[in-house]
Amino acid sequence: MAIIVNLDMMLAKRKMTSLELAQRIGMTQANLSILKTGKAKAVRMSTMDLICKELQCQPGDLFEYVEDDDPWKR
Amino acid sequence: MEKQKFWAKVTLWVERGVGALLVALVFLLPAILRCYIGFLFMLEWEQQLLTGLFYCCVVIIGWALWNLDCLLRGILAGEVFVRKNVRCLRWVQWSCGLVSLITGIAGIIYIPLIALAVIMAFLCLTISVVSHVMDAAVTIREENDLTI
Repeated sequence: MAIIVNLDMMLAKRKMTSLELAQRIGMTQANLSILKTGKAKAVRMSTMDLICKELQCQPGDLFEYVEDDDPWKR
Repeated sequence: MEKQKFWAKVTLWVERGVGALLVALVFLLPAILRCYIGFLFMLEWEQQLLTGLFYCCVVIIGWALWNLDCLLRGILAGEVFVRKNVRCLRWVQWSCGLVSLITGIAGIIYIPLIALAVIMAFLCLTISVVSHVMDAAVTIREENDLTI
């Protein structure tokens, strides 16, 4: 997939751990790690809403699109 | 949920009962064929061919019953929409297809077996459709598991 999830970056900027974020949005850390590791197939709008609210960011700050054949961006 | 499990258990025991009957059939088949299919009116090679074909069917049906047993045990363990169950259904489907083919061939010797061949072909088709539905359900479930 060509979508990169920059959740780790946002968590570092906000000085928050993934466990803290998971607890604040009412999700398990295992579920959040599916998103962090780029294994997620889909994200609900409600989940995006909660994450953006806690991290004080825009959805575009969390996701980045790269061309599949661009090795430098990976 | 309890009601579903109860009926799944009933089906499992019926399936095991059929398995036990199949084992009994292995020993009783020659006697049954002599009494009911009018073996006396057939040539020696026809009798042997028909007996051989029926024993092939018994083995294939035994394999199908084993896969049904695996499927039901998986359902009782709470594993419904998993790839293993789709594989079990596909084995049952191909077993029915193979039995249909064998009884179709046996129908050359004993015409009424062609009706059984048609029934097994229809069963093969039905189980094929069910296995495709199950396959699609497993794909949707896997996608849902990775939706946060």
